[in-house]
Amino acid sequence: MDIEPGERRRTRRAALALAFALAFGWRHGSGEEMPAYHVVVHPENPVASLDRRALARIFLKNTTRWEHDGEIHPVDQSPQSEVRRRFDEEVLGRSVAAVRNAWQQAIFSGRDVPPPELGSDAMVLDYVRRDPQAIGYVSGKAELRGARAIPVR
Amino acid sequence: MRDRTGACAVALLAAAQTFPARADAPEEQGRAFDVHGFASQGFLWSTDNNYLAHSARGSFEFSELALNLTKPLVSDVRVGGQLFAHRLGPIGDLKAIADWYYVDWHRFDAFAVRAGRVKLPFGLYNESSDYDAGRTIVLLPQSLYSITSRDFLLAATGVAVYGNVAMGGAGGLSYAAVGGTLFLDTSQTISAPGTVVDVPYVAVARLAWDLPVPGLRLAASGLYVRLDFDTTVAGQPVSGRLPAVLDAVSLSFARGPFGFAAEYGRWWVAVEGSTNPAVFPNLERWTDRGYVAGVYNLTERFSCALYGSVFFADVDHREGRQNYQHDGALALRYDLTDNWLFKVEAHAIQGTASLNPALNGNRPRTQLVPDWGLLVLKTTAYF
Repeated sequence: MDIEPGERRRTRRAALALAFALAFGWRHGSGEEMPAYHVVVHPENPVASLDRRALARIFLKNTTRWEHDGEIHPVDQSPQSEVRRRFDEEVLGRSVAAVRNAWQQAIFSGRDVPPPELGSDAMVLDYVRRDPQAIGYVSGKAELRGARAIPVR
Repeated sequence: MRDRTGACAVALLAAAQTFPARADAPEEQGRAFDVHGFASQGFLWSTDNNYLAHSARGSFEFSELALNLTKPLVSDVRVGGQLFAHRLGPIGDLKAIADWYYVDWHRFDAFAVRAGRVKLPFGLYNESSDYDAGRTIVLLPQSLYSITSRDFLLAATGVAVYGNVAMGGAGGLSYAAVGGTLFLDTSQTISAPGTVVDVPYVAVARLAWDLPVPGLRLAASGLYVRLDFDTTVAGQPVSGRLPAVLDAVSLSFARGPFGFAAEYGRWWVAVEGSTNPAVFPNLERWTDRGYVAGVYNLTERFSCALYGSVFFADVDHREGRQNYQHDGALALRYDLTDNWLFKVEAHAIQGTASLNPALNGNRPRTQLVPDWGLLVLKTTAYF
C-alpha cells in the first residue's frame, strides 16, 4: 500500500518529533545534570582519575609530582569566577577568600607561591593543552577542545 | 650585621638573573619573578598604660612595608627574598632589612631543603605573623606571638628541611625543622643601651597532622635558643647566658566560612652564669600561655574574629597584676577591594605582665593600671 505525499510529510515530521523527544526526554529522564566543573589534563597525561583529597593536595601544592613522574603544574581560575568558587568550596573545602588568605600567608612567609590564575576556561584549556604536566578545571559547559577531562572520585 | 646579610640577599637575587626560567612550564615563561608586597598603617589607643607604643595618647607608630620576589631557577630550585621595614613604638625605625631569603631545593614532596635566612616554623602563625592581610585580626594573641619579640623569634640564618607525606585515609603529615643562628641589632630591640646579645644557635621543629576530617589540623612545635648577653644594670656591668625552651601544641579547623584555632605553650627561660648576681641573679622560670580563637567570613569581603588569650609570667606566682596579662579581643575586617582592607579591633585586657616599664615612665608593673582597654585600627594595601 503506497503512502500519500501529505501523509509522508506528516510521517516525517512525526518521526523527527519522536526522535527529538527521545533524545531530550532520555537525557532528562536519566537525571543527568551538567557538572559544575571538569578537571582537565593534557591528552597524553596517563592519570586515569583523582580523588578529591589528592586533587586538593595538588592545588594546595602539597603534592607536587605526578605518580608517573614529572612536576605537576596546577592552574587556578580568577577569584571572581563562579567555577573557582565551586571548585574551592567542593574540593578544598574553603571559601575563595579563605584560600586566598592561606596563599597570601604562604607568599609572605616565603613558603611557596600559589598556582597561576587565568581569566577564562579558554585560557585554562590552552594552558593544559600546551603542557603535559598541567592540570586545571573549567566550567561544566566548556568545550574541552582536545584537553582530557578526568573523573573526580 | 643585618646590613651585611641584606647585601647577601641582594647579591643572591641578582645572581638569579643569570639563570633562565624553566622552559618546560608555560607559566614560568611569562613570569620572570613573582613579586608581592604590602604596606600597612595602624593606630593604637589605650584607655590606660602605654602598650607597644605611646598608645595612651594615641599613636600612629605602627607601620609596616614589605616587598618580596621569588623566582624558579632550574628544575626544583627556587630563590626568593623579602625586604621588610617596620615601626612599632620604639622598635624598628622603618629601616629596611632582609627579612628572609633562601635557595630552595624541592625535588621530593617528603623532603626539601632550604638555606638562607628562613622563617621559624613555630606554632600555627609564627611564619606569617608579619602579614596583616592574611588574617582577620590585627594583633595575633600576644601570649604566643609577641610582636616585640619578633627579632628573636621570627627567622634564623641557617638551614631548613621540610616535607609532607600523604597517608591516604589517615590524612597527611608535614614537618619542618630549622637550625641556625640569629643576628640581632639590639639597638632596635632592647631598651637597655649598650647591651650586646650573641645567639650561638637556635633550633626549631614542627610536626603537623592533617586529619582525615577536612580542614582539621593538629601540630606540635618546639624551639631552643640561647642568648649570650653583655649589658649594664644599675650602672654595673653583667654578662651571662639566657637559654629558653619554647613549645606549642596547636589545633586548627577551617570549613567553609568558619575557622577555629587554639594553642597552648609552657615556656622555660633561665639566666645562667651571671657575672653579677647581685644586680642580675641567676633564675629559672616557667610561663604558661595560650589562646582560643574563632573567625567567620560573613561575606566575601566582611569577616569577624574573636579570641581569648591568657598569659602567666611565672607559673609559681600567678597572683598579682604583674604576673599575668589576659586579653579578650573582637576584630572586624572589611576588604574595600581585592587589594585593600581595613580593620578595627577592640581589646579588654587584665594584667600588666607584658607591659614595658620604659614606655610607662619607668613605673614598675605592680603600679600600672590592672584593667584596661585597647583599640587598634589598621589599613593594608597588598599585591
